[in-house]
Amino acid sequence: MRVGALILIVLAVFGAPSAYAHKPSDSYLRLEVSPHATQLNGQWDIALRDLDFVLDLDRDHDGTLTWGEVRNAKARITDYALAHLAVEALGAGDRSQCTLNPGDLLVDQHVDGYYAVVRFVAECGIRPTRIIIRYRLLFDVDVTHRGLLNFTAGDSEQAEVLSIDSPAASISVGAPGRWREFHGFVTEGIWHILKGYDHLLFLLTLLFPAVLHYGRSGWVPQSTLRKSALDVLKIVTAFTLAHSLTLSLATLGLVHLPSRWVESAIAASVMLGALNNLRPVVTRRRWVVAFAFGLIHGFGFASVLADLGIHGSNLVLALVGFNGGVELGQLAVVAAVLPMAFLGRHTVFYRRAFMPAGAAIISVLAGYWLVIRLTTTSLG
Amino acid sequence: MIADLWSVRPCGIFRTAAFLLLASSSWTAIGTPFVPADDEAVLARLPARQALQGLAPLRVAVAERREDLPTALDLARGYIAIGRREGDPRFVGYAEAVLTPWLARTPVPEPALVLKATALQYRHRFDESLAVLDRAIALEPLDGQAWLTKAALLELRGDFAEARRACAHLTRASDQILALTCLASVNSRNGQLVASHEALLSVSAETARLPSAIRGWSESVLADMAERLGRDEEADAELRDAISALPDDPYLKAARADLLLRLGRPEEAIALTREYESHDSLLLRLAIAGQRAHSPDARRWAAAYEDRLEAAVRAHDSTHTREHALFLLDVRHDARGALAVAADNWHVQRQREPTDLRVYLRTAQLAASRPDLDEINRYLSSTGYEDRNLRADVRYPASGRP
Repeated sequence: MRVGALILIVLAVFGAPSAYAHKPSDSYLRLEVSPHATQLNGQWDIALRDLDFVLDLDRDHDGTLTWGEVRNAKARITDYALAHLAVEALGAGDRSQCTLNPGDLLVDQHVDGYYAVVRFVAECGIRPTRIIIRYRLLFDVDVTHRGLLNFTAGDSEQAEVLSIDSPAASISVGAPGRWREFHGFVTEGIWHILKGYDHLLFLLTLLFPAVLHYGRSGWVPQSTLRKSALDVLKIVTAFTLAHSLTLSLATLGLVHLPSRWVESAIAASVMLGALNNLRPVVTRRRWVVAFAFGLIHGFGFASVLADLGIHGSNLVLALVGFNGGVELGQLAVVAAVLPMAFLGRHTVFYRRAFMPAGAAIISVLAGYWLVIRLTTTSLG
Repeated sequence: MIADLWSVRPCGIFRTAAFLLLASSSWTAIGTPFVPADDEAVLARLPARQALQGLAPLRVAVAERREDLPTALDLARGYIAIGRREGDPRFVGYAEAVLTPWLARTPVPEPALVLKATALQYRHRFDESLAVLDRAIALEPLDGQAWLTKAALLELRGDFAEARRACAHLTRASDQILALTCLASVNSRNGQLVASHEALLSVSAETARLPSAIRGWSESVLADMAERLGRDEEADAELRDAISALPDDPYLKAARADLLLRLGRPEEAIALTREYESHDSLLLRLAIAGQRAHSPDARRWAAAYEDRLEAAVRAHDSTHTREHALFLLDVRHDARGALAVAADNWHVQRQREPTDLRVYLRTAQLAASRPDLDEINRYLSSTGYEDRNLRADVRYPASGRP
């Protein structure tokens, strides 16, 4: 067997396990259309390493690229880039192939090194309502290359990933993607309250006793639905106000707490809430408890939102959408739980078995979380 | 109700949503473009430039002689080798572009299929890679390279019976030592760790005559077995030998760095990987080791790795799930976030190497996720997978099992 082949065999064996050491080849293409204009402004960041491979920029072959080498190749770089991009405008029943006029050549640094920045103007002749982009940079030499397109029209932004398998994008200039984005954040918020079991359990520990009130003989049924509903309303409102407040503060970067404390405090809140149902300490004004602990839960929500990596202008949109979603999810839980609890409140099972057993299980569970969260994450 | 609560966990929908949101959010990574003041300002170092220069004659030849398959294959192999050494996927893309016209032919040349499969495997397109390999094997049932690539893929996914079958074909198709190493590696993860270790050790003297690539591979397999047998010093010695056989190999360095980190020797892990910040997977190890050793560079490494991770997520690149989970767990100490990614890595990406299992188990334990622990236990008992470090750690959360 030839040695060359053997080496390849071993490459194959090792190949899969490690992820790439490098970011793959991506270019960043930004197109901006202003309303009422027949032009688009373009900025295209292409890795110098990629351009060197196709245009041989490193003329002295010393393994480094200087600005001089790049500047001297300006015409070749811009011509090459713009020859691999087509922009078509559609509007008012017309379609027109836009002319791409090169502008300045600059450089910029990305996470994996310097990129050439090609600025250009696409002159379309008509006012576009839709733009079609056909991208084929580097596809002939590198099948893994991708163009990351960011399209701005007014204050709406859309993103597409262009690859050899899907090299074209059709983007509506009129209808912004904002609504879709907002919708995404709302969905995220709903999911979080429904799947983030610690928030849900905390809410339940507050809801279950709302159909009862605590007297000398223990828990007894609340007389009217109105009283229960009022109790629930106060609790849910307090919880909502509190977590909205801290969620906003944390997301806007005004307050930051270590996540270990937050997660531990959330577990503690669930445990205390459940224990309070077992051996009530706070029986009146439970909305105060909901408010106090809601502040902590808000920080927990904020860490989820932070994980979505939202920046800049999307932040407020994200915050409002996500918080709205959390409230919707919460309302759904209330709507599902309250009628059942109210109907069942007279039964001995509800007061003597369901309430205490549920509270006991929840408090043990939450106590366990508390211990785990306090002991296993070593840094905040 | 309570039982149900155990089974809910942050699931894939989170990541999908995050993906979509990220993709549509404005990118802040882009700074302000500028015109450098000085013509001599160095903008890029091209580490692979010399290697690429070496391939230049082949590149010219391929462009000129469109009917010359061996030259095209040599060029593609050359690109893949650079990509592996530099850990840079663009070279794999170059290789595939060279192969593209050949893959469109009928009949399609079998070696082009095998190389295509190798490239797909690098890009973590495992299903496609397997399909292409099967086409190659149908054309050339005695191609050892095709069988070994297939075995490696199946082993990665934890499909041991099929992997063994592929290894067995190597006995006829290729070198006996290769077949034995292949089988030992698969069997060691499938209930026969001790016997496989002994078998491979007994022939290890013979590997000395083989090219360094094979030797390095064999030693890395021995190291993996030794580590799972609880013989950490032996594993470290094998890995050191493997690294001296293949000094440019980033995978071996990552494996040794992981071992050193587990043994509480972060300073040595830093010394091993310090020069390789440009490699994402090694930069991650630096970030972990730096934090543990309280290195002054720790924050910079962590931030740099996070930047690259964000860039990957933004580009819908899902090849980083293992590293992403390790980063969340060992740098950010976010067990729940890490579990979501580790579970995705295990179930969706289906990466099932020892490293994948370790990170999945650690996150599942920290996040006290009963369904994930159940899944892992099912996997361990159904495959007979052994790892002394791991077994000792598998336990249920105290309140998890009534």
